[in-house]
Amino acid sequence: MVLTGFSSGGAALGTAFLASVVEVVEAFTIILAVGTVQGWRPAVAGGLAGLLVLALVVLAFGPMLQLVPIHALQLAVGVLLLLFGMRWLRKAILRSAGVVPRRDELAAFAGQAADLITEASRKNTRLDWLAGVATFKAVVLEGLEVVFIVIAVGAARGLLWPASLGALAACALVLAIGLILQRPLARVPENSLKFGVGVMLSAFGVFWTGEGLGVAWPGHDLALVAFAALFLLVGLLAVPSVARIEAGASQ
Amino acid sequence: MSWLDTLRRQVIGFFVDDAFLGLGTVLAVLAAALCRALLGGRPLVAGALLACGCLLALTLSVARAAAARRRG
Repeated sequence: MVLTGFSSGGAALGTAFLASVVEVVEAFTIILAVGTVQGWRPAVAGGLAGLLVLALVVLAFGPMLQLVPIHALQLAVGVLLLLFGMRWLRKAILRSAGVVPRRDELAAFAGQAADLITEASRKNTRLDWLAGVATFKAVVLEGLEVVFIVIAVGAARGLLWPASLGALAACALVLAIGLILQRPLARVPENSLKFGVGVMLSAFGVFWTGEGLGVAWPGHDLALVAFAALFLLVGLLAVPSVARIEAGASQ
Repeated sequence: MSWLDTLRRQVIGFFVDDAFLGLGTVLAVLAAALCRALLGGRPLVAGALLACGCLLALTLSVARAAAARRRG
């Protein structure tokens, strides 16, 4: 039992950490673009305002989770995790196979900077304000995904602490590296991370949904490993098959 | 208001990117729930249906995306 508790705690921590790395890298690219174009004051102000909104969301909805019966919570969180995780996995498979272009942090950085300048000239608005709004939106939107992942992998079995720890560690790591390098973190293997996290979130999704429906999985928490292996296998088999179709299409 | 609309669309987009995959996932969950209700004494059948249904929905969704790309 100690072993299975440790394994699910480790899985929650690892999944939240890797998922948060992906999201924080994306938010950091936008903050960096804004900071480079318009200076750090509006970039940091918008980012802090976004963090405040996220904190309010957590404070408002967090206690409500305690009121939801555990099976209903597992079912709701499980279905949302399935939708969220398989969306990530699908995108990662299609990117690995070359059907969808991979995310390019350098291009995202350049695009964000260009958008900011174009928008300011078009609307004749103060650039400081637009810069702040851009970082605010980035932090809120990417942060909401992090909050969802932490709650989803943590809330249904009292694993909120390891999941939160994983997310906080990811934020600290990405921001520390980003502040040292002062450029987009283009070398982070975003698609591989998305693939792995998609596998884990989908596995958590099947596990929680099943528990919510009253399924007692054989091996208890270790069933998570079996589901992760299944999704990983399907994903790894899908990539070369889709790549072959893609190669046929481009000839 | 346009920002709120963007936020709403983004939040929905967190969960549903491809309608086929979203629908397939929901159908797999509904099939498992129905199976659980009908075969109450054998919950593992519902669990297996859930896992296989999700894997099938994912595989078909990826194949559809590749086929759509091939058709151009």
